[in-house]
Amino acid sequence: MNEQTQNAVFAYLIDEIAACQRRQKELLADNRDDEAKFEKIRTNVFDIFKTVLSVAIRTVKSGSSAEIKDFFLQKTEQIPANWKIAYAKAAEHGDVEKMHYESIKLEAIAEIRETFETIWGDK
Amino acid sequence: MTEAEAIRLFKCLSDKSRLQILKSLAIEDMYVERLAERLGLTAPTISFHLKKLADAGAVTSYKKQYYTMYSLCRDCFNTSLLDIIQEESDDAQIQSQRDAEYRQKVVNAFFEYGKLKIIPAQRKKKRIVLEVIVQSFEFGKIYTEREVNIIIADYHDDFCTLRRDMIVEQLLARNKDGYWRI
Repeated sequence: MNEQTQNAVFAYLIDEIAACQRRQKELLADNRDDEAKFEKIRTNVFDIFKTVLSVAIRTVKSGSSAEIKDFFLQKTEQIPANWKIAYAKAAEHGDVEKMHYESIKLEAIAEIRETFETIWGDK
Repeated sequence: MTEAEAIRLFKCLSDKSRLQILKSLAIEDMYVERLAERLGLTAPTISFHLKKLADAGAVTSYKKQYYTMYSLCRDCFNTSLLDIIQEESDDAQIQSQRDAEYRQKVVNAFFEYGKLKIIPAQRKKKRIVLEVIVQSFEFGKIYTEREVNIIIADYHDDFCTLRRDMIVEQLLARNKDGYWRI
C-alpha cells in the first residue's frame, strides 16, 4: 500500500514534468520564448520535489509512511521560504518580471503540496 | 531611434504573445484582465509582457478610474525600418554605447534593488560599483567619517573597505576636516 502511494506521487510528478516539457516545446515552436521559460521554471520545481521524495524514501530508514510524509511536507515549507522572500522583495520594488518568476514557483509548489496530501492522505 | 533602442524593441517584438498584445492595443486601449481574457493568457503573464513592452517603449499606461489602461505607443511604430537602418552611428558613439552597456551589466550583476550584493574582486568592476555609490555624495560638501559610513552602509555592510577603496580610486578625498567628493 505504501509503495503504491509512493508510486502514485512519483507518477504525478513525472506526468507534470512531461506535460511542462511538452508545453515548453510547443511554446518555443510558437515563438513564445518567455512563456516557454515559465514552463521550464515549473519543470524545475516538479523535478526538485521528485528528488525530494526519493531522498525522503531513502532517508526514512523505518519506511514509515507518516515520517516520509512529514519529511516531504517539511521540505515543501523549507525550500520555498527563499522564494517567498524573493517575491516580497520584488513586490516591494515593483519588479513585475521577478514577481512573476517567483509566483510561478510558488504556485507549482502549492499544487505539489495539495496533490501530495490528497494522494498520501492520512496513511 | 538609436541602435540600442531599435535592438531592444526588435528583441521585445520577437515574441508571438507580445505581438498579439500589440495587435489588441492597436484596436483600442485595454487593461490587463481584458487582454488576458482576449488572448487566453493569465493576467500575471500579460503584466509580464506589458512590462517588457513598456521598457522597450512600445506601450504606455495611464490610470482610468480603477484600471491601469495600456495603449500602443504609436510614435515608436511610425519610425520606418529604413529610418532605423539609415541611422548613422559613428565609432565613438558605438564605443560609448558599449561602455554604457558593460557598465549596466556590471551594475545589474552586483546590485539588487539598490543594495550591493558583493564587492567585486576585479578592479574595473569595483570601480564601476564605487562610481555608483559615490553618486550619493554631493559635490562641495564635507562629510564626517560617520556620515560617510552611514551613506555607504546603505549599500553594503563593509563600509570600511568601500570607504578606503573610494579614497584609493580618488572618488573621495579626505583631510583632518573630513571627506569630500572629487
